[in-house]
Amino acid sequence: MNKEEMISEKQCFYLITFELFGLLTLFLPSFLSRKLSQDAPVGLTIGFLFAAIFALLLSMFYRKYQNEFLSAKKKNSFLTDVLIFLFFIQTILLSIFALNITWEIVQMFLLPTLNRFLILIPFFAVSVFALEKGLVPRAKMAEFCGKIFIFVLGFIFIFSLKKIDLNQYEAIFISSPKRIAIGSYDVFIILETLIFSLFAVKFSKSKDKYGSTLRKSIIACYILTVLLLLVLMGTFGVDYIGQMEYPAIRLLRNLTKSSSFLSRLDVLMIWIWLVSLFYFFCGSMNYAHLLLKSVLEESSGKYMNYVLYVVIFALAWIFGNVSNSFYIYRNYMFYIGTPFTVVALLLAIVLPKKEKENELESVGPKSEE
Amino acid sequence: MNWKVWGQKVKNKKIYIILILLAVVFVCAFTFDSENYPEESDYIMSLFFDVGEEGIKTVYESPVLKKDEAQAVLYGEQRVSEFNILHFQDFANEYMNSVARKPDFQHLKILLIGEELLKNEEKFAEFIAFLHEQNEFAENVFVAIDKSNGEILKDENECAGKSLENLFSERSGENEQMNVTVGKLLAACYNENQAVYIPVVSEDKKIQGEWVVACKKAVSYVDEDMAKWLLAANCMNCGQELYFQDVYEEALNEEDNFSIEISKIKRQISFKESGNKVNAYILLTLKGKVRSYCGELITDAADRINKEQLFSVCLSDKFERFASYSKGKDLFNTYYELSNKNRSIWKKYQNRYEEYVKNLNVDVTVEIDFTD
Repeated sequence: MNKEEMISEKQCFYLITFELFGLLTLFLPSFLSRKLSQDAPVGLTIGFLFAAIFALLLSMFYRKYQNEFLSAKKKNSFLTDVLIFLFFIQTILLSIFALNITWEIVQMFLLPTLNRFLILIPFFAVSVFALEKGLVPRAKMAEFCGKIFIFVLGFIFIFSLKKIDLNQYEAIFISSPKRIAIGSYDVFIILETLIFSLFAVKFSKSKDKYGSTLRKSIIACYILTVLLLLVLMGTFGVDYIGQMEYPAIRLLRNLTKSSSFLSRLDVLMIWIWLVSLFYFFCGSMNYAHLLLKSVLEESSGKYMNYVLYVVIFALAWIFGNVSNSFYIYRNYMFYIGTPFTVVALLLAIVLPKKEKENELESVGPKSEE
Repeated sequence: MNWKVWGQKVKNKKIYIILILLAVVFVCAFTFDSENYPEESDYIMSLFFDVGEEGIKTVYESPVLKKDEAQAVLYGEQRVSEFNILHFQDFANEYMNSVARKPDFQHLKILLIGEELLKNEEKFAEFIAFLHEQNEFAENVFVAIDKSNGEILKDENECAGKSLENLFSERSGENEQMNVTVGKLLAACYNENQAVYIPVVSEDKKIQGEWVVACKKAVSYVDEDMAKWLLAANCMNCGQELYFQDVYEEALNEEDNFSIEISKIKRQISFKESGNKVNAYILLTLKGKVRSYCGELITDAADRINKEQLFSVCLSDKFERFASYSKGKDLFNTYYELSNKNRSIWKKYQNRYEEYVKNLNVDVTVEIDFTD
C-alpha cells in the first residue's frame, strides 16, 4: 500500500467516530429512555465502560493478529475464522439496520410522499459508488465533515440550553440493578460497531496508535451522546423521549420559534445524520465485503461484492423497517453475537499463536495488484 | 479537462453522464406526483378541532393565493372552511376530497382546541395521539383553547393565525415558558408529571383565562387574574417584570388602589408525609415595588408602607384561596419537583400522578421584599 492510499491518525479517528455517531445519537436516546427512564444516562455510562473494555480487547487482538486478520493469502487460525464469521453476520445486520433507518428518516421528515423503494435506490446507489472507491476518500471526507459537524452540534447544544427545564431531571438509580445492567448491555450491543475500527486501522499510517485512536473515539462519542441525551431529557422529559421516534431530529423543531426563518432548522440536523448514516452504511458493506474476501478464493471473491450488495438490499427490503431490523440485530447480538465474540476475542488473545510461514499481505486497494 | 470524483480521475466520462441522466430521469419519473406541486397545496395557517354532534368539527384557515402574490400569504384574503370528520386521522383525506388540494401544515401558526374536545377525555386522548403521530405539525406551533367554536378564524380579511401568533409572542416576551406549544403539550401529556396552562382566547382575540391540563385530561379553568398569579407561583414567568393592576380586590377609590411591579420571584418547596397525605410547603419570595394605580411611584413614605402592608395581606389571602382551590388538582405543579426534593415520597408516587394529586395538600407562604 503506498502512502497516498493510507489515512492519517486524525482521519482514522474521525472515520470511527463518524460511523458510530449516527446510530448512537439517532437510536439510543429513545431506546434507552424507554428501557431505563431516568436512569438512561447511568445505563449509557456503564455501556460505554463495557465498550472501553471491548476496545482494549480489540487493540490487544489487533496487536497480536494484525498480519493475519483480513489477510487474503494467509491461512487464518480457527479462532480468527470464528471471529470473521461473527463479524460478518454483525456487519450484514448493521447495514440492513442502517438502510432501514435511512429511508424511515427521509420519509418521516423530508419526503413523506415518496415511497421506500425510491428512497432506498439512490441512497444505495450512492453508497455502492462510494464504497467502490475504497475507504481512503471516505476517511478524508469524514475529517472534513467532522469538523463542520462538531461546530454545528456545539452551536445546537448552546442554543438548546435555554429550553432545558431542570425539573425534568428526576432522581436517578430508581430502576433495579438488573434492569440497569440489561440496559447497559443493550448500549454495548450498539457500541460493538467498534469492530469497524479494525478495518479502518488497516489503512492507517500509524497502526501502532490504534489503541489511543479508539480511546479518543469512544470518549468523543460518549461526550456527544451523553450531552445529547441530557439536552433531550431536559427539553422533552424522559417519558416523552421514550415515545418519540428520532427525538434528536425533533429537538431543533422545538428550539426555534414557529415564525422565525430558522423554524425548519431540523433539516440541517437531518443532513448531518444522513451523512453519518451514509458513512455507517458504506462502512458496514465495505467491511462485510473485506471479511468475505479474506476467506474466499481470489477468483470467486471478485464478483462476490455485487452478490453481497443484492443480498443486503433484499434483506433490508424483507426486514421492512427499523423495529424489525433492530429486533433481529439486538436478539442475535444479545444471545449469540456478543457472548461468542467476547469469548473468541479473549481466547485469541490469551492462547499462544501458531506461527506459520506464509506470505504476509493484508487486504487493501493496492495490496492485491 | 480531467474529471475527478472524490480525488480520483474519472476514466469514462460518457458512462458517468449517461448514468447521471438516467438517475435524474428515473427519480423524476417515479417521484412525479401532481399533489406535490406548490399550487396544488393549501398552506394551513390555523386549525381548529372540536367535538360536535356530527363527529369532529374542523375549521381551517388558508391564504387565497393568486398569481404573483406569494407575499400576501399572511396579509391577503384568507379562505376559511369547515367540515366534519369521524377520526382526527381522516383530516388530510377529507380535506383533499373537499377541495382537491393537499393540506400543508409546515406554515401552521396556531392550533386551536374547542372546549368540548378538551372536556371529552376519550377524544382528547385520541387528539393527543394524533398530534404525536403527525410529523408535519412542528413542535413549536402555539396551542390555545378557542371559546368561539371556530368563529375566531372566520375573519377573511385578516390572517387570524398570524394575529394570534403575535398575541402569544408578545405575551411571553423573552420567556417562552408561558406559552404552550405542541411540543410542550405532548411532553406534559406523555411525561405525566406536569400541569400545563393553555390560554383560552375569545372571539375578539383576547386571552380570557387558562385551562389547566394534566395527564391528557382537562383539570380546571382559571380566569386570567388567577392564572397570572398561579403562573408566577409556578415560576413560569420568572425573570420577567410582572405588573398587576387592581391587586386589591375589594372596592377602593382609584387613588387608594394600587398596582404592583414584581421584578423577581423565587420558589422554594419542601415535602412532608403525614399518614396518607402529602404536604407540600411552598415559600414564594417576591421582590417588588408598590406603585399607584396608574403605575407612578408613591413618594409619600407612610402611604407606601400602608399599601405594602395591604398588599402583603391581600397576596397571602389570594394564595390561601388558590391553595384550597388547588385541592385535588396540583395547580402549583408540586409533583414536578417531587423527585428532586423528596426521594422517598417520589419512590412511593413514581408514575402515579393522579394518586399523588388526590393526597396532596398545598401550603403557600409569601414573603415580599420591597427594598430597592
